[in-house]
Amino acid sequence: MAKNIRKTITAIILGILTVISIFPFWLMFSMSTYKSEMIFQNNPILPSDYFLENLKTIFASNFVQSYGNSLFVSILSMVIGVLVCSMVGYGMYAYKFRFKKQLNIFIMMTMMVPNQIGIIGYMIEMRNLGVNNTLWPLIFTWFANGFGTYWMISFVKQAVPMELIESARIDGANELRIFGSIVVPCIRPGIVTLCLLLFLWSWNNYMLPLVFINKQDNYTIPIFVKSLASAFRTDYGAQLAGLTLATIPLLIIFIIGSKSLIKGLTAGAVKG
Amino acid sequence: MRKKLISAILITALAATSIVGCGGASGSAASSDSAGGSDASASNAEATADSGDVVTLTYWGWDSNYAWPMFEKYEETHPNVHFEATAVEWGDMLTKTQQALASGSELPTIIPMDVALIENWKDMDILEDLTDYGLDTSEYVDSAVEKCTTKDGKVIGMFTSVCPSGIAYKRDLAKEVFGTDDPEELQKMFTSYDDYVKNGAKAKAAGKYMFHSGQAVAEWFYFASDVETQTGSTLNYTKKMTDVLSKVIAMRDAGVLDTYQNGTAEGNATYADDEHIFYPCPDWAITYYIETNDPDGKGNWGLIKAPVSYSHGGSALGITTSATDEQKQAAYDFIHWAIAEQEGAEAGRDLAGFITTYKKLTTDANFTRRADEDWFAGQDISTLLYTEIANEMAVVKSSPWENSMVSVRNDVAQQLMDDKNMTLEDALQIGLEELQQLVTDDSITIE
Repeated sequence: MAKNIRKTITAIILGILTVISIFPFWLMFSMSTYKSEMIFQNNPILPSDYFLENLKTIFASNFVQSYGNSLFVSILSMVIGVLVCSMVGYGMYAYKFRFKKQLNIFIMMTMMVPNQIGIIGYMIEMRNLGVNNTLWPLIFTWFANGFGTYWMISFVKQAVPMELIESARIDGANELRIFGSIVVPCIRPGIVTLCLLLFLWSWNNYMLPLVFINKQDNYTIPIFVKSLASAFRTDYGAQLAGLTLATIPLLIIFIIGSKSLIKGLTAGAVKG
Repeated sequence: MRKKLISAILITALAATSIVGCGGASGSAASSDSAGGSDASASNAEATADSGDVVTLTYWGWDSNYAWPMFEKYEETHPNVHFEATAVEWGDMLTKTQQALASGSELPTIIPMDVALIENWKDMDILEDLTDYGLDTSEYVDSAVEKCTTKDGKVIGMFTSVCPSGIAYKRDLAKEVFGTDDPEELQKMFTSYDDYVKNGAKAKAAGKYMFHSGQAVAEWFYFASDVETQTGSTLNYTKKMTDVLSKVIAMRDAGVLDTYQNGTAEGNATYADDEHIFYPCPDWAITYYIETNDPDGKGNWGLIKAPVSYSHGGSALGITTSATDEQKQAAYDFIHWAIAEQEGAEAGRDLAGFITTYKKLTTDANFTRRADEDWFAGQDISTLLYTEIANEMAVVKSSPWENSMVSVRNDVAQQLMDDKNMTLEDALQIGLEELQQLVTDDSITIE
């Protein structure tokens, strides 16, 4: 009886928290179905019938290009970033070399320095590479990601027994084969978690596109949305429709990877 | 099967976005940064050279309602000039420019400078002296010239509009609450700040608010205040904010202010409601706020003078020193066209409601006649704004720390509205602590 009551109370609390969490998203969607002038004159909890008109406004602007740019940047950042971080994770775990400890400390140190501090140096670097005002600086920054590397080092360490790697070596597998066929399957939850995080960070990145992008054609979604909301634009319905569309890839990627994400985040929480 | 499906989706997405993304990148390569020459002048020169006789002028700015249509209009009659405009939010302009400057990256040819930040632009020393291109300062409104002139006499830009400000009101609500919607009668009722407090009782009794936002009235009092923000190396914080916040508190305590944040979507929606009567109203707000937020309000608005005539807002256009000579000249020609030539100034007036700072036109009653007086039931708001208010408004010199003061003012004004028991002393103390965090220059004394 007491157990049932406890369960019911837990369910109610969780239900309330869920509603609180989902409500802003619902409101964003619901408001995006209203004509701007009507949003604050009515109670926009129930959707209206203006969503398609707001979408038309959005699609008449540079939205599709910005959306494509964001997808390009985020997917490429995620794929290459995760690949590099996983390989570094494996390398730091499986190889013995000089200054390994110092390198480990250096990787940790890069996590302590806020990105904003290094941004001018990064801009100079990108300028010398001749890629300013393109999408590449927004992608390159995720290739050598301190957190991702640290995450993968820790994950490989606990998920891949050294004996497994040594057995594979004895059986004649080369290092790439070992990495692809043995290490990657073992660290899959970690990879998925990092994929989600890198995609999310890259998708929401505002500072780098702000300082690097000077052409409307190269806008990413955060900059596009912000430019829509510039001082005197008041088409809130269209802005909210844009924001609703902007959250879709994040929702999809989280739905696909939610199980592995939870596994990845909880791995190591319980030591066996 | 599921794995294959996910892999297929990811590969398709990657392939599709590569096409889109590379398209964008290659597009940019075709213009300014293509061959790795991201050095400012090199890339500017390249942009010009690549396009033959066409001069490409780049622009970063927030005011898409003014700049974009003006560029299009100019390109119609000047096919040798092409604009590449990038929308940058007002709050990001300085950051973006400072980062680009520090890293030696490309700056735009034309930069808009908001009145609150103009001293910061002066300090950056990246703008051409427009008098070198033939700008005759005597032909422009004195206050506009004064705001754009540096200590060593350089005129780094010119304001696109004069921005006289009044107090707009909804006629139906004024009639309901004060028994009249006639601007002359209302003007007599509201000659001092105290009048807004005293007459606010009638609004309160009728279940209405005089103003929608404490931040909005704080902004009004701030721009109307005759206290200079900075004298020498001293920020006159206490004096200026006491002047501003004491009036806000008087109105708050009289219950005539609502608690909306100024400029937010919800705040802007009040322009169309039947609860809020008055709005501080620079001339550009007629187009940007009243007509946009109250599309059914044509004929329901009136305008009176504020107790102290003042100017609010406006931005100047300047030319960066890193542009090529050809670009600089073309940029100056555009600025001159937009502000001092009949065709450009008319375009600014008709497209965005901007009345130029070029004296010959500003003092021409035919030119300053606004096309949207029907929103004000035919009231002669043009004469009121551009003859009466414009001639009376005082100009207070701004400070490089103006933006910090404005930020503190906004925060504190909202806190005053949220906490009805907050006193002037409390508010000043909170604002002072905030300002001390923002002012990083040790040579500045906050008083």
